[in-house]
Amino acid sequence: MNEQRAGMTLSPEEVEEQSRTFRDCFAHLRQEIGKVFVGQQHIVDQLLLCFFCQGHALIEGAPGLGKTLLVRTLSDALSLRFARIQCTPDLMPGDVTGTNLLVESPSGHREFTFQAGPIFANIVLADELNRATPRTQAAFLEAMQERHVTVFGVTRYLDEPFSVVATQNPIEMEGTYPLPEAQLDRFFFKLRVAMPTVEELSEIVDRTTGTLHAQPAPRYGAPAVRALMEVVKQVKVSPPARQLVLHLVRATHPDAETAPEFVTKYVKYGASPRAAQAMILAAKALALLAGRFHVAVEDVLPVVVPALNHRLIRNFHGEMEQVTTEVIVRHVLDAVHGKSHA
Amino acid sequence: MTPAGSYAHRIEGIVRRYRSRVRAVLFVRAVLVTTTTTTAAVSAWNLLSNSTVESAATGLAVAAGAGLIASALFALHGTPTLQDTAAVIDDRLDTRNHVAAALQLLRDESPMAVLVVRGALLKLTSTTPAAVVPMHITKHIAAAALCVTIALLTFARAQAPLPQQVDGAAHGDTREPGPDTGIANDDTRADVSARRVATMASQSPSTQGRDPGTSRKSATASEERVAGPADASHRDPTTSNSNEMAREAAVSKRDPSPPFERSGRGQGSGTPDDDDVTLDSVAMAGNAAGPPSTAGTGTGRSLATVEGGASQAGGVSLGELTEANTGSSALTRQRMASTVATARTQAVTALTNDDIPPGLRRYVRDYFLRLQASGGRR
Repeated sequence: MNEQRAGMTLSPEEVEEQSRTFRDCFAHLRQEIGKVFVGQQHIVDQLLLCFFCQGHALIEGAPGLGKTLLVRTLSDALSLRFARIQCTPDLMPGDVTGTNLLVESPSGHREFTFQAGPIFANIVLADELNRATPRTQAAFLEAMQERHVTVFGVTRYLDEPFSVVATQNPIEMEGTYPLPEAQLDRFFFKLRVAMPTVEELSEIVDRTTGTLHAQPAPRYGAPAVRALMEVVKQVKVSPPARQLVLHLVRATHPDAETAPEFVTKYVKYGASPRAAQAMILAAKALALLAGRFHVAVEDVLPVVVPALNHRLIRNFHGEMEQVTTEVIVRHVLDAVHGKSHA
Repeated sequence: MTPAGSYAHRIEGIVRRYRSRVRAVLFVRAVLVTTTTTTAAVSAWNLLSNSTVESAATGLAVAAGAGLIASALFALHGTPTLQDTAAVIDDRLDTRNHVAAALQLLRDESPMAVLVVRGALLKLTSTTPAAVVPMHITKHIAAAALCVTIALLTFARAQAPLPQQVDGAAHGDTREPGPDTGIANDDTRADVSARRVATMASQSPSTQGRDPGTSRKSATASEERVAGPADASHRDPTTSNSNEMAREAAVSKRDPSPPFERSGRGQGSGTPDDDDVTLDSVAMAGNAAGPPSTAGTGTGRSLATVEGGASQAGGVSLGELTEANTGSSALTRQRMASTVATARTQAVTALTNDDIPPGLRRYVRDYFLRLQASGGRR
């Protein structure tokens, strides 16, 4: 209903204009991030999709691959408020959400004043989130899902746009607290940053060891970004694309009659409805980028893996045989999409 | 009506037209398949059961009607829904689910829905249902044409007595006469027809009034004509064609023993027996060679001519005939082939020119069909 109300305030021509602005904005971001962040174009695109769909991203990669730089550049290019939280085992929830401090006024009167935490930003980078304790991780939960925090019984809403980009290091697991499934499910996409190629590495060395440091040109701002996010939501979904998404999610469950053998063999729990929401929303953004106002099947396919790979829980056999969730998702996609095409 | 409603109304109408087109294509294809199948089946049944003309025609009509009804039912049952039709259109036009999405948004007044429906409308109005859903029935038509041809052939077969029936009658086959089979059990129709043809041919103005000498010349010339198509082209078509038809008809009813035997028998006996009656008739018809007695010694010529005519049409080795008469094999195989071809051409010409009485045509035609089917061997 909100979507329809928001759409009704605009004429079709205005929506068309906004869709053009969206494409321009996306191209601008790609260009500005490309000045700073070398290579990994698909990671950049998926992060942007995630951001415009008001989702949260979990970036997994080895240290030094530019994860923090990527997120900061995104924030700078959009003139948004950026906050970085380095998660450690002694990080407290109050350090994230903020707390009430006893403050003395100039008149000598003392009162509790809420001191907002770093979560009150447009883009929050939670670096090495898996090093924070589950208690602190839970503090992120409410913010990510409800888009508000409750401190001392007072609920405070976060500014829009709001997006949490968390990173985690897959190689140093000692002293970490693996993210619970409930929290993993709240991430829109899980992106894996790979090691750069030799050419990309050479470019990184050239850019970072010289005297010139490229700075992204800030444009748009929070209100414009919010408007663009609304346009993405208004995109319509065609029945075939919808059916594909629904069948994909259903097929990830080993007890489903449509589940492929690979799933029944290696998967313990399938994807939640949030996976379907994520795929549809990301496909909407992709459709808009392609100049369409409806989601086609082609828009769904590129977002299946990042939307599903962190939402599947492998069973004992899957873990023992080291079958990655990405491989499982690709099997599901082949089974469902191939079947629908046949 | 709002602009969105107007667009929606139009796009629904267009998709309905596409659906009608899909239904029509389904129907036509089904008609071609079912009618072909049923017609072929009924034709096969007619062929096996030697059906009469009436029963064959009735069967074919019933088969065609049943095919039409089945096709209509199939097309109605197989007609896709509007959404499925939209999916077909998207698939054919490569519009990436645009039409399917638009069809789902018919009652959505949001600006994005209007844009989707308007875009789909633009794409759909730039093409036609016939272009998007073509018939593609070439193979179906070819198969149907093949089956219809087969059906017509069997129909024609049912209309006329089979060649083996004619031959059977000629060999004294005494089947029960009946209106359905068209076979007579008294003196065979082939015999009668041969005589009729012979008589008619002998009454032909070009052959009347010749003396025996002329007949001999004619017989000789006939032997020479056999030698090549160039000679045949100089002949009087009326005479030669009718004569040869008569010979063919006559020979077709004769004992199918090899030409050597026939020729030898003719030479040895010199008197007409049952076979010779016909042979003499033919000899008289073809060459005006006079009474049958002349065929005895000479054997002759008239008989040789008869045999030559038979060999031309029937593909009997002309070399054998030549040996029988002259003792030498003067003609090559190539010339024989061309001679046979010439004889067939002349036979067809005779049929075309109505040289053969209409009542006898089917016997002559059956004879040639049988020759054709057997590859020229009798």
